[in-house]
Amino acid sequence: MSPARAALSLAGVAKTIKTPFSRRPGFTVGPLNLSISEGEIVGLIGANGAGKTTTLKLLLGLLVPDAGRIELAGVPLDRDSWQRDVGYLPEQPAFYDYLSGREFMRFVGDLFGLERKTLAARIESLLTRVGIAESAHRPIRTYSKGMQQRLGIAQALLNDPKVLLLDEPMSGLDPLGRLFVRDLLLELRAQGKSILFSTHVIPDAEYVCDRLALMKAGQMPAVGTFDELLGLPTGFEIAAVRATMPGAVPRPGEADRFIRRVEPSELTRAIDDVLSHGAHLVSVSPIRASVEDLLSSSNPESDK
Amino acid sequence: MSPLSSIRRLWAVAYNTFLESVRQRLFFGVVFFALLLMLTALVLKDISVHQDKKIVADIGLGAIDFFGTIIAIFLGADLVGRDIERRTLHLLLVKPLRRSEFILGRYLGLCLTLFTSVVLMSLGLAMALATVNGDFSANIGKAVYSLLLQLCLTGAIAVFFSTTSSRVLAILGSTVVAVLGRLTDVLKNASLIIEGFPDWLGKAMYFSLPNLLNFDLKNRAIYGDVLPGAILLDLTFYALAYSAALLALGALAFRRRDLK
Repeated sequence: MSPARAALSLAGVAKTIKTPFSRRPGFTVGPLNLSISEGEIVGLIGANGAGKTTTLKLLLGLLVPDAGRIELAGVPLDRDSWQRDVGYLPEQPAFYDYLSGREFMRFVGDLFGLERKTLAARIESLLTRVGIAESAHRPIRTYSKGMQQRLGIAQALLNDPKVLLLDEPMSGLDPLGRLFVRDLLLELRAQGKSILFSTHVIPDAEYVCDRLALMKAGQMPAVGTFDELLGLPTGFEIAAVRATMPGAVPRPGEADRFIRRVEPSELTRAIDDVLSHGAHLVSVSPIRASVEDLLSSSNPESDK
Repeated sequence: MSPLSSIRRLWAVAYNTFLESVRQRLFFGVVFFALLLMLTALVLKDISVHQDKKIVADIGLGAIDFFGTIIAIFLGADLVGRDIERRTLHLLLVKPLRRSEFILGRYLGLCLTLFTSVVLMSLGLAMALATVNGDFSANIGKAVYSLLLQLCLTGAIAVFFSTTSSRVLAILGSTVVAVLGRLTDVLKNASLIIEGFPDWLGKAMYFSLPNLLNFDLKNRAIYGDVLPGAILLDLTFYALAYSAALLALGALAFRRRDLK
């Protein structure tokens, strides 16, 4: 069986960004190697300044790489046609704010050369999907940050792309908005789209990502699934309410809530035990190193 | 990317540029001041003797030249640089839009804006002339057309600087070239006027800078000289060729520019 086709790949991509008129050596990103399959979501995780946005800009040709090869939707970046199958949401997207949301979408649709009827239908459908259809006639300068983020998501989806590159897509959104984006990402994956998105909010990544690409000081020291990166759980923490569990310890300030730590091999028996005592199971959480631990311990130099 | 879809993209960028100018009301402000100046010409003509039509035409054409140049420089210098600074360009260049198409589309939008402002100011001039029983003659029409060509060329200079430098430098650079372009005859003979000025430098500037003085047909139009169509044809080709060269150079410089 042939391996899944890469929807996006970087091989040895590197870039040094220098400050003009400065003698400092500059910030170097890479060499980066990454491949994303069709229908996969990969989270680009790292602290602020780790090089996530630079990596996305390199992928899109906004920054010209010093070295390496990039392919998007199977097309090398130096050809013209890659844009047809790619959607991009920058961090804090900037629009022509004198246009209305609908006018901006039409402008973007014209750049893709979409047929008028198809374009009109797709614009309305997307504006409704992201929840700004009723404000779409207003100038963008009157939009809140969250509304602009939603418009940014809509324009990224206008060409029905196979590959999506999203820079901090949950930024500026309220809790409901974040939930909306999470669900949208899962829905897009179900449609077979490949997604690379950057975030420094780890729960967002944990919720939707198939794999993580860790970034630190311009390097990508580790790429893999949660299990590959964090290892298998060394145990589980069972939380229950109103239970008299053997070995359970009450949580501080929560008299009726109890937690119990068990070995992986004891998990099934421990859950049965909790339920047989008439308790309500609240959660079962794996005990293992966190992504934060990994980010603070990853040494880019040793992983080059 | 087919030629037809390329034309649609160019039009989309050009129309958006035009909308930007109109909705930001910058050029309306400038056109308003130009029309105001033409009204003052109506007052000034009272202090002249039998020269009222000439004074109104002179001030009117001068206003189109001056205010049109302001629009060309200030809008043109902003066209690419501001999109880079505000990062609106990040959204566009990841669409099927070549960098060269973006620059050309922006330039065509600027020309559309210049054309509209020249038409508005010409209407003002025609009304001002009508109040002194003068008419908007074919000669004045030719002078206006020549001015439009000059403004489009000035716009190309500003767009060129906009692709290669910051907004302030683009305004500064295009203003210097626009001024020197009106002094090409002086530059050619600068070594005769200024002691120690290298003759080769004057000649080099004369041949490399756009000769904007050639587009100034104001006096010839006002004093009734014959303005044959061949002159306008020559000027059209000159403006087209020079603008195309500037835009091509700008596109070349912008091709591999990093957008941070």
